[in-house]
Amino acid sequence: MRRADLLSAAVLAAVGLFFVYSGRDLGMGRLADPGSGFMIFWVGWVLTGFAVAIGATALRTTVAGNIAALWEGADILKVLAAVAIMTAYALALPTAGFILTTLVMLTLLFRLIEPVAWWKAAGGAAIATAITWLLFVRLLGTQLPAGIPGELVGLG
Amino acid sequence: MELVDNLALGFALALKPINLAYCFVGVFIGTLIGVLPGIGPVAAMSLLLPVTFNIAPEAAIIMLAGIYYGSMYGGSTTAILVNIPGEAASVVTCLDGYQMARQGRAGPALGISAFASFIAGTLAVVTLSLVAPTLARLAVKFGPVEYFSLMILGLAILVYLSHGSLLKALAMACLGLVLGLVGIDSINAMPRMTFDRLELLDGVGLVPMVMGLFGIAEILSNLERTVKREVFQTRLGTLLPSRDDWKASAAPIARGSTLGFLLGILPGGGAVLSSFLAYALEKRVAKEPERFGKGAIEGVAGPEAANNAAAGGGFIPLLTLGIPPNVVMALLLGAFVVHGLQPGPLLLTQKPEFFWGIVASMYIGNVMLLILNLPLIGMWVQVLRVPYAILFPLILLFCMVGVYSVSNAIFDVYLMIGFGVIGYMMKRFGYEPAPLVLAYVLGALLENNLRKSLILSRGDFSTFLTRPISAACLVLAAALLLSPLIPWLRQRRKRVALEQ
Repeated sequence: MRRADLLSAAVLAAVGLFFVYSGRDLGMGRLADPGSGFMIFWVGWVLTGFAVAIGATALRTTVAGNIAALWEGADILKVLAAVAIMTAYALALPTAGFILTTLVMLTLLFRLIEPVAWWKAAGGAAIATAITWLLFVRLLGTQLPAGIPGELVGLG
Repeated sequence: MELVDNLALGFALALKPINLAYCFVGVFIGTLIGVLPGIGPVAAMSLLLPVTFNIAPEAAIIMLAGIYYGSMYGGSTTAILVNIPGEAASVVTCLDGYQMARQGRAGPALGISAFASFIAGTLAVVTLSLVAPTLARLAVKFGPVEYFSLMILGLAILVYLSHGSLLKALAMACLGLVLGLVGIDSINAMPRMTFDRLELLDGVGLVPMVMGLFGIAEILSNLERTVKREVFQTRLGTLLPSRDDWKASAAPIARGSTLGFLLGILPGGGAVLSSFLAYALEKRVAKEPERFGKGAIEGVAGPEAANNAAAGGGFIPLLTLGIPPNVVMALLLGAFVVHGLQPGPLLLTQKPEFFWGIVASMYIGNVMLLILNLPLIGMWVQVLRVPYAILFPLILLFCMVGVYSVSNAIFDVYLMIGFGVIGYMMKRFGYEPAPLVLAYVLGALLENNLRKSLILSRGDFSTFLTRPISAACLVLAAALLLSPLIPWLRQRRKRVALEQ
């Protein structure tokens, strides 16, 4: 954990110092009339202090191990794939619309853990998309993006 | 007599057919998400928060509260039958519950778990009814100085009770405090840390943050390893515990209820901690502690009573002081605000029917859960057989659609994915999300009260130490945070962390 803690301490210290800078930039005001940046400034310093303490504790620890050891035995590719699919979904949603993007996303996700047949994944995705659309759009009145395909078929 | 009148007022509201229906929906969904591993009450409540926008405030809060205490009931089913806790508060139920199931006593284990939950849940609501009015009257006397110090104490307790490094928990609380200040400054209307994004003027959204840190991060962690669930193949037999089972469980239920309720009131205490401590307590007072972990019914009754009592106790600081003691209550606070209500001492005096309506719905909800849990256990077992490969894409989809529907902004979906990745990394690096979220919720309130206190005292910090309630809170907070410097207390905290 030593290197992992040092890395996280460095990130937190950087964030803390950014808060200090932002707080100062926003205006500290006076003690009798604190400004918008007063608390951000001081919390930034406190965070930096804790980050330094985490780093110092890590330096004193005898438990070795590199950062990659944190992911030992873990299937990191599945995690990365899930994040990529979700991000692509968010990017495509406004233009491609809810139905098309959800269909594609669910098909890919159904195949992510256990590679099932494409037709099964697509079929399951179609059913789940239809139910979600009915539930959110028809029943709850949520406005989900219809996108270009939706507008073409008159769903927009 | 006043209590009876108040409860009558509450029952008149809670027994309206529409509120009964939402109470049922809440406890049903709560039990379902309690049964399903990988989605907890926090994610489920944030997912359903947008759904409540179109319904009456009392129905919305009744439903959301039902999800919380319903999930406490449901969590034990998976723990006993599959050895996988449906939610974190049922982790210890696995130890003896699953062993009971292996010995062919799944029925009594599920039965005593349901009865213990019902008894503790009801006792918690009764105590809530008795304590809340007195506390609310006291809280009216609180000014910004007292509120500030009370919130500092709340954060200190939360950080102290977090089961990792104290320094890491403190760092997360600092991060959460600043995240809570993003957006328009409530005192001078100045935008802060918005990076010129219009979406951030209202601050970082609670729903995308909670869904990301708890929902998405949990799914990403589960994806790393193949989740195997084998539902125990056994006849459940009778669900009714025998006379001997009751004899062995009566005292653990009483102890679990008391401990759980008291810990539920404390900020950061909550259901998870109380169930662990109740288990440790039962093991400590048992005549034959070696039976624990091998199917001792006390190991099921005590923790199950504790987590349900804690769920009830958590409503006290929220409803009487307006301060959420844990993340679930923070979400409920968000739901109150969305519906134009401010929980706190004035809620009881200005909207008594609303306050007592929620309390009364909890009595009704507990009865519904007992009726729902025992006959429907077979159905919950079938739900458990749905493979994770099918469940997780659907949970992800509901998270994304749910977040989008709150504000109709794709920005919130990105925010949720971002917090999901951060939450996943935090788990890996040994940081807990709970102090961050609670500090985020308290951030704006804390700053507002600090600035008001300083303005009123003309910049004199001694105001926090000259007012008795404030001084007591701050001294207690300092004692908690400095206690790890005392060697024997440090050992004690480590032991609690290990037990967790």
